[in-house]
Amino acid sequence: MRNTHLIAVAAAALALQTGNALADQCIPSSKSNGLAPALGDKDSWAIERTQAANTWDDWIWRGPEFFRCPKVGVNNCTDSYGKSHQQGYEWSVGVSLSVDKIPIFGGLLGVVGPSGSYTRVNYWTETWTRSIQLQPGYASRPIQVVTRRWVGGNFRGMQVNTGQRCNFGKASNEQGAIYRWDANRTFGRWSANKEVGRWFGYQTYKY
Amino acid sequence: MFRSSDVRRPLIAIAIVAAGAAVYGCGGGDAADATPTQTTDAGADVRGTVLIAGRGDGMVAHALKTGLKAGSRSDFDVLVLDANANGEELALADSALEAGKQVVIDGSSEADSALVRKLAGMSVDADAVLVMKASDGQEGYVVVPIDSEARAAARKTALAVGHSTAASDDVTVNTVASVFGL
Repeated sequence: MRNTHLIAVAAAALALQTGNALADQCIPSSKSNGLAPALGDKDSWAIERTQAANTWDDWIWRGPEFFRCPKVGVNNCTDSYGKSHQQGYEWSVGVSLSVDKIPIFGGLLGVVGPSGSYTRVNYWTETWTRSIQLQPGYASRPIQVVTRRWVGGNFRGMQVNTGQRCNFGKASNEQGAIYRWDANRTFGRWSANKEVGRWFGYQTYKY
Repeated sequence: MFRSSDVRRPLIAIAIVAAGAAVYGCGGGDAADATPTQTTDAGADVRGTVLIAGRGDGMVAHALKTGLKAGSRSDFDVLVLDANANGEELALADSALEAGKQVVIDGSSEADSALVRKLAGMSVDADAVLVMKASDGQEGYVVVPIDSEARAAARKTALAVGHSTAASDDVTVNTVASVFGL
């Protein structure tokens, strides 16, 4: 019983790893841009190929100037902003995709990884309750910053036309072709500025 | 947050509708899409370099010794020092800030805070403080408090009380790991 269970788990794992590799598919002309030689697929996934050498700071919120330390008459000033702020932001910005006019079978090019979507929107609440000390003549603002890195790459995994014709659907005589999954074929391009760090702080300057 | 590190390497998820090109997403606030001037292979080590000055026994120094690559006086991204730094090291801090590099004051004594105020005009209550010039055409400096893991955990718990618990809402605390992306 236990062995049977293990085999079932192993088979499920294999099916997950290979996706639709085991099953050739009849894809109709209308969904393959006229039986194109190869198609992207909803199971294609994104590969990181290049990255920027440096990161950049995305100031997602710059709060009000809450305090000014007088220019004269004091040694320094102590204060605290003492407020919270909730800011919506995207985990990645400037997302750009191009699949070089290659049709995508299944309607969506969906590539899901454990970190979620590249366009995931979060809300980040921060509270500035700390005591700060300003030198005379300086002012301060609270800020929320996401540190980002530009990354780019392409997609891997395509449905490849085997040249074998088929009829699509029981009620339809639409001509199709047998496509076979090739996990090593790559296509397209994408780039994005992804989050690599997140922090809050203060901007301080002379006024 | 230093300008050349990425230890974490999140996997990717993208969904676009149909074929062709699609462009979306334009982040939060300033969100200027930075076009990289230098790119490298995705697998390359792009961690920044750190130069430890002063005592070098603070929590940031300990973490960055292993989290970043070792730098030299002529080539570093992050300078870590404390109130014991000598005159030469303080001069190095001034020139580093002017060059757009990051300087960490690795301690929370009054002498450490005084040094932060000397460099940036402002200090903040924290176990360590990161200082750098403001980016994106902003004036002045950025002062970033950095907490120990223990203090950050206590702060996160305190902030979570009465806080919205929406799944997509997050309370962030500044630790060496979150600030430097380790």
